Amino acid sequence: MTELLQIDHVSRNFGGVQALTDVSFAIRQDEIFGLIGPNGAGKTTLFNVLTGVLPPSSGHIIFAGKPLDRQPPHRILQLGIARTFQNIRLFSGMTALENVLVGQHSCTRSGVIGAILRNAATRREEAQARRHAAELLDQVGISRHSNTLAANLSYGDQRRLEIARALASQPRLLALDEPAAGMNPAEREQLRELIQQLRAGFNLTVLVIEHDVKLMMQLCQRIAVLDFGELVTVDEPERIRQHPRVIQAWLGTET
Amino acid sequence: MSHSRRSAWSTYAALAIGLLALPFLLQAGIGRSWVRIIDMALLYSMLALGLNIVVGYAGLLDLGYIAFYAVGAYVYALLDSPQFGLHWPLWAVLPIGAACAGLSGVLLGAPTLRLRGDYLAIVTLGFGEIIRIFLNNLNEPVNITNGPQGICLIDSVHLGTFSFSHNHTTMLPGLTGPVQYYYLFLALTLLVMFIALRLQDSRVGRAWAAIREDELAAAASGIHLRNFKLLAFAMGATFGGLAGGLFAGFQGFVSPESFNLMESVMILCMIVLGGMGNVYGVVLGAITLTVLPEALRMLGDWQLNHLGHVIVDPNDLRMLIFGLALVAMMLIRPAGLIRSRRHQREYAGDRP
Amino acid sequence: MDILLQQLINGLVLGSVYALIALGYTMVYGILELINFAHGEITMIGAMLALAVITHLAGSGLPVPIVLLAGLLTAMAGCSVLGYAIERVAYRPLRHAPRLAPLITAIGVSIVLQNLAMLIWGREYISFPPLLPQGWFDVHGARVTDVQLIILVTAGILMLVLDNLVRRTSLGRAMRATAQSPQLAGLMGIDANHIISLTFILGSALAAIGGFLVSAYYGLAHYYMGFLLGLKAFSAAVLGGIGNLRGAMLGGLLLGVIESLGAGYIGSLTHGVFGSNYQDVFAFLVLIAVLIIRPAGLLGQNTADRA
Repeated sequence: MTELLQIDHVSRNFGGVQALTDVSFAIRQDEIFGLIGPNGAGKTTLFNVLTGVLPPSSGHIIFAGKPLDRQPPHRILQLGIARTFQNIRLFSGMTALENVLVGQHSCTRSGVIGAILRNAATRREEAQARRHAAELLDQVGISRHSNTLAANLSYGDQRRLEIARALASQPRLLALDEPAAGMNPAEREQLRELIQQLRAGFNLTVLVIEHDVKLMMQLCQRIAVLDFGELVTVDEPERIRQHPRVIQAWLGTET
Repeated sequence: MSHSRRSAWSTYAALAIGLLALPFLLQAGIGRSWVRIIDMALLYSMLALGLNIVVGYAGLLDLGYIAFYAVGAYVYALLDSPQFGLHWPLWAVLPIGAACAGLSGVLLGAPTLRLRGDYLAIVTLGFGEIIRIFLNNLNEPVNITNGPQGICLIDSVHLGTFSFSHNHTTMLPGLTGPVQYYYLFLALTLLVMFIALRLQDSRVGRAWAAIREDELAAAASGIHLRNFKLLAFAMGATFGGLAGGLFAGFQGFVSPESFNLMESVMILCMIVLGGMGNVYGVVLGAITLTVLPEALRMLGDWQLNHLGHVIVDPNDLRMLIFGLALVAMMLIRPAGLIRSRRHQREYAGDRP
Repeated sequence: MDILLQQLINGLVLGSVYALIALGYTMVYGILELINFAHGEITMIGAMLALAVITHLAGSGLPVPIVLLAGLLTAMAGCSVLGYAIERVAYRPLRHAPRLAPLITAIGVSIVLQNLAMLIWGREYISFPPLLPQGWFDVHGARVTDVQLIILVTAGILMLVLDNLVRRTSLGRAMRATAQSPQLAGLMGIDANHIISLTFILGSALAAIGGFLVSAYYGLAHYYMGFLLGLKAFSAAVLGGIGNLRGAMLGGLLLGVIESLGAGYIGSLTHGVFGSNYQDVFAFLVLIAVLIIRPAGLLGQNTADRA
């Protein structure tokens, strides 16, 4: 398996606080890769560094052979990394369909002139974008809500819509920030199935941050454990389960 | 189905006839001055539609918008008046004015658009004042703007030999200057409305809306924030410059006093009152706020006639009422007179 | 050299007034992250109220200091009530609304205040009654008037008092805690609403003093004076780092000096192309420059979240 994403000695500090210290690991093509760790372990910081929201204090991130150093978020998306947010960030005043259309921004071209003249090329692009958006909504299972305002969707459907919006940019790596937060066990199970289904259907590589260790053990091929901003280990779920520091620092108290 | 279609068409036809007949009715009914007032209302509609792209679509609070109007007006005034002895044709002057305004929008926007919204508001406000101070003082050592006196004897809006200010009552009874301007401004307002509506429902319009609702999520969806903000700024400024040029030709006179902060605030009021983001609401707001002061002026005449003297000058009350309306709108009906679906939640204090 | 010194002194005097007004912006921003757009108009109302009382009492035979003090205290009381009321009516209901909404109400409030002042006090300039000392003394060839000295001393004392109030008293601690996190402060038994009201009252009282001093300096007051004054004070607050009290003081003084030197030298620097009538442009240029180069201001931190 080839490596799609390499985190190479990444550190990040905020003032005097060291949020990430010399973290290195790699995510392979086509795998579902988990990132776990207690609160404050630096998971979200790593996520923000990866997606260009924060620059790393030192170190590099290499995606598909290209360095991502100091690229702004929209560039990172264009390079093929799409993300969701821990506390859902949909465009709440737009319909579900429109949210997914915005997600296709980087795959579409038409500008002001096209918008005003609405020429054949623009109409074709728009029609195609709408078709594609409808398909995506169908694939995440909320096609019946395509004309509902995002704000009026149920919590679980909002999570699904956010995934559809991220998929709309045709990413190679889908990064999910606590996608199961606030879901009940049944919804979590459905979410796990959805992620696995999407991974296969779209040839995706998936990076997931989650608190729910049980879910992660079932979902991921490999898991990285962060604690106090440092990488504890990267391994397969069964071996993670037996890792002494993981048991001591985290699993022991959680289960 | 065909029935409802037919009734829709007859509504449109009635509306069109009403709009075409309006200036003649006004002229015959309450006088020619009211045609001029409606002309101004249409100019303000164009301005408000331009600002609506910036504020309503992209969510960037621009408090110095009137500066772009001023740029358009002064470009027209300088290229079409005895000030420099230039009399350029309309097809050159209007686009140049609009382009200059758009360019100044880019120049102002490029360094400032990465700022957070409320900072942007103050910087644009400062920019508006700077433009006004320059217009006021650029009469020495070289006289460019003629200072506070302003520029007068500006050529009327004209196409070839047809001047919109001259009466053509021999061609058609009642076809006076204001009536001709009415048709010109109406056509252009409809054009600007058309453009605004098309933009709203497009890839560009959705990108603006995304920026307005959540910048971080918009960036994570691949939208280049700075470029799209700049685009909104430039589009809005261009419309402002266009309206400014028309204003200069229509009035025949420009001075820095026409472009003070209160004018910027007025146009913002029009948008807020009508319903931010909603094209029809914005036009309604613009017309209401142009006509209302004139109606208030009649209140002054009424006092003079019935009480012998003016107790409260309605002109003084005008801005007071606007201020109160602005506060009340935000508190009571934050979505405006005509609600824009998208904005309902946004301005109603969104807690999911 | 005396021209330079003279401009410096004039700048410091004006700057100390900007600083007083800037403190109001910065305190409110520190706690609510709101630009209290109406603050400039509160300053104007302060000047107007003070002048009204002073003019009224000028012929009463009371000693001059008493008359001035009565005017000042009335202005402070009036502005405090006004500031409190504005927060309650126009800002508090919108506390959880998006940022644009309270900013628009703030603009509305300032229009209302401005036009109320115009209705009450008219469109004309109102002059300060001739009660103030007219003397001056010489500092190395520069002239310092008694009024300038009074302004500098008053502003200086007020800034010291405020700085100590915020740093050393329990009220100051509560204010800082609320600015850090209203929810957390609430858990510690601090009533955030109470602190916010107090902040508005305190800021408005300072604005009243600022308005009084400005009108004493120029000998004039006008219903439109608040707009430019407010903008300059806001620029000063941003220059120093908005949310930071000492920053506002520093920013105010600096802006005053920049403006004064700029107006004094722009003519000779540009060979007469631009004259001192461009004085008002400096504040905006400084504001724009600061926001572009160092958005957090001179003494501010936290540059990351502004970008």
